[in-house]
Amino acid sequence: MDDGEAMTLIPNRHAVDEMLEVIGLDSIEDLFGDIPSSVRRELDLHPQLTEWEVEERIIRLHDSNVLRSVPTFRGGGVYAHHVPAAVLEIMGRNEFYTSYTPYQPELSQGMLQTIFEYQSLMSRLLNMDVVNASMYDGATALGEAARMALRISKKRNTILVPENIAPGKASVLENYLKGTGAELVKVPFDGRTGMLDTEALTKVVTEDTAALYVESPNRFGVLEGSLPELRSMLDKALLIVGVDPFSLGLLAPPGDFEADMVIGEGQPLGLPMNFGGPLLGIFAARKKYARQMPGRLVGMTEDRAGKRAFCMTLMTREQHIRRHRATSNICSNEGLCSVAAAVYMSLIGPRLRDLALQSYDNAHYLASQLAGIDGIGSPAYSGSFFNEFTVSCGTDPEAVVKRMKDRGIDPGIPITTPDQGDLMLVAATELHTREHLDHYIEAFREVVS
Amino acid sequence: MTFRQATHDEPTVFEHGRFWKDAEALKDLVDRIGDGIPDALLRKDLDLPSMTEGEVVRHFVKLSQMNHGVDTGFYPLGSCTMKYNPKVSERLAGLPGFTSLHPDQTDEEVQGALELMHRLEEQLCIIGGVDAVSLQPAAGAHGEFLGMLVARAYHESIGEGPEMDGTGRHEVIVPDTAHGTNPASAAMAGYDVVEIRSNEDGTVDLDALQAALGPSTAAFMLTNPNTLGIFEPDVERIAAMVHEAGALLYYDGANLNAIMGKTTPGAMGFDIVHFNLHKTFGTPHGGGGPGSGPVGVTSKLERFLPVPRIVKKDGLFRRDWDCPESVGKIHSYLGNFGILLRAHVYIELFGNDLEKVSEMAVLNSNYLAARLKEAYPMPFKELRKHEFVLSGSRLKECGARTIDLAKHLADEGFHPPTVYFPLIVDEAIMIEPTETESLETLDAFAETMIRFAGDDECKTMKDTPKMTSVQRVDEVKAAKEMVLTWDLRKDADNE
Repeated sequence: MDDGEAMTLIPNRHAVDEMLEVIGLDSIEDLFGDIPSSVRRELDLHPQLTEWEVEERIIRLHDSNVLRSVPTFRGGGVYAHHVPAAVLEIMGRNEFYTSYTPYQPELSQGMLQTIFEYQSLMSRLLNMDVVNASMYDGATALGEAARMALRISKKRNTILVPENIAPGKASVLENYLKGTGAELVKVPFDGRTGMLDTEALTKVVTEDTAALYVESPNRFGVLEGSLPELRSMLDKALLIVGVDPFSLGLLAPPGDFEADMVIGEGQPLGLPMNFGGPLLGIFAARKKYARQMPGRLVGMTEDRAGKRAFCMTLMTREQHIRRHRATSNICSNEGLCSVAAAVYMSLIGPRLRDLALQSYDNAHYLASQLAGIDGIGSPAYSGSFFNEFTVSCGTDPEAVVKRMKDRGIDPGIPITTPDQGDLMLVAATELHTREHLDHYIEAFREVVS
Repeated sequence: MTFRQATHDEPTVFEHGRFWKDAEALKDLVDRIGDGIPDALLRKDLDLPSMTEGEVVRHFVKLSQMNHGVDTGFYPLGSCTMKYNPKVSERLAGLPGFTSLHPDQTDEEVQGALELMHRLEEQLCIIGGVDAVSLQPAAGAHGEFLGMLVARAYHESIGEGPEMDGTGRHEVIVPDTAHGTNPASAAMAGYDVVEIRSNEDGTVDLDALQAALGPSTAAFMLTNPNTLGIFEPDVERIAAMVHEAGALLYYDGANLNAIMGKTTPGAMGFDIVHFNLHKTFGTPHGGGGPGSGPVGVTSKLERFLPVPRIVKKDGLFRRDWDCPESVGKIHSYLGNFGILLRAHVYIELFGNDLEKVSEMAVLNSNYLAARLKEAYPMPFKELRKHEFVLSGSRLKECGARTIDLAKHLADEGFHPPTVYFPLIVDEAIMIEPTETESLETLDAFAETMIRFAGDDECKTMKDTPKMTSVQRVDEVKAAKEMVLTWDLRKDADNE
């Protein structure tokens, strides 16, 4: 056996004979004697590599990705917010990242208390009773929320979603509902404001409506002005609200509007963009629905000596106990990402308002400056917005992106809307300086003129 | 040597932090924002604790010290493959050209990321013996769910899909030894779950399978080696029976660490396979995740895989959305890229020597089983793969149970094995040592387990653990009081 780099990860290759003797077998091959020869296959990969050979290969791939000095203006759920060094440092604690689901609470108090603090901090940010220890991402959290709404409301079979929901999110939701037989009904939006068309909403809420999903900010970055009234328009149907947790430094939490469930993408709270994963699916609900929730929950309790302790709880909801009657199949989740969010919220604390304000200011400065350019609609919808807005470019947004990139700016995400055709979705964060923004505006002026 | 876990009476961040109510805060905000956002949508207060960076770091470092990980000690948690995670993966995954990529950047700008994913897909095709792979699922159970959606789409395409009125192929069969995620995933995709009993060897009962198979069967989900660590000897016959019935054979990849370089799920006749990258390919488990659960399929099912597919066209790697029969999306983006990257690094390191990984994992497991089978009954046959299941039933004679053994092991610095699973073994103790543990560690664990089986130790187990940061935790109280957040503790006080 070759003694290369990879082999140092496997300690017992020099003890094989000694171990086989205890087992009572003659060769390694005997350990695999129960695999029929007809299904035997060898690997056809490559010879093992040294650590530095692998590094060289990966760094070559790394170098062919484009990194810009100006942070991206793309958002749509994942944003170029600041990731504090202390967050990465704590995520890198071996005791955390090399552990698994804390099935044995006595050995896992660190992870359990951290998750409990995540649940508690997030619950304050959302003003919701209960938060689970994570879903895969915002889209799958929505899928699970819709399924939970169907469980709670039993015979009701329709889920209402805004017509301007992002297509990818809608696709994930459809897949999560495929096995339920539930119907997805789209609620139109107001073409002027980009908000929910509440008149149209009253017409589609029926006795069959299990839940309405509404998001604020929505796909266009627009804040849902009808949030304070929605609860009263739904009768017995449940209200699921999608949020950007970062915006809640500034915006009223969904719990203030009597949301039954809240979902969101937690990446803005201390996670790198990572090409879209791992992310953090936020999932919250009112306490009375806790037993219908998917995913892990950590509770505070005591140990035998009466000392404060933490453990996973309400596990009879979960697949390893309830099997096909479980509330969800989820097992591995995004635990370490919830650790990151807990550290982030502890570190930033009430300053989240300042960071949110900076993002707000930057986006509003950009939007108003772009509006001053001939032929540009900015924002393309008039509803109020936080840090993201749509721009009508007067030309193909794809072409704008291409030419802006030549000028060092990744200006936004081209999206297609049902009423205004192709627009560009632009997000600014606290990382964008006035210089970046003016650079953007100048480059934009050049490419559209 | 005595073990003692770090013990800090560490308050929560709510007790550490300072809070101040700023009466002017809302008014300031209203003035500042002006007409930008309606007042009703603005936040009135934000009662998060305020701490310095130093305080935050001390707090979480202390908490981390009260946590057992692979980097602190042996972690033989069955079915979870808690192997050592090579550090080079962490270093490479932290490079800014990966962490700072936005998922919507154009294809030309993310060539390295897409090429890496494309390569990983090819490598998983080889390891799994499948024709195509999607990297989108974020965990094993997510992969199972995707596999079930693919099965649905396939049967729908030939007019045999499950209907709400209970016709079509609406049943999925699982053995009674299956992971809980299998039946849960099938149910989530709208299938009725049919569970079949194992035979007296702990493997699939072919008669029971035959009786369950029929025109209603969509798929049979199987783990091989199964959760007892036993390789299913009739797997080819099983594949033939399942295919004969018009159903698909699904491979739960939780136990892939046992067979790399020896066989592939594809060679055994499986149509759909999920991989657990966090198990087999050495990516860290993150205290519960993130993981990654790619799905591989045979060529006839490729067209149903999620969009976008990663393709190479005209010398460029691209995301291809033009797949009309695709099930659509199951994740916001392309999956857990950071984990995919680490798994690719792991596969690059080992290459064909992944076979050695499996050989040593199986050697370690059988060695430990051989050392323990006298002290603890090991139901079913002896030759196991990467894990094995003992019974703690004999502990009852001295008034203890498997859960007490688990807590007692914690006192010696060992993370306990998986307990009470699989369900068909009384007082189950499921042990998976993995290939990265040394003979010395295995021996120390074996000697401890043997000592615990003796009367003296057995009697004191009920009082353990004592050396961990807390003693036996009251899980009943947790479920009853439901203090799920710091603020909810007031509810519990009032009741």
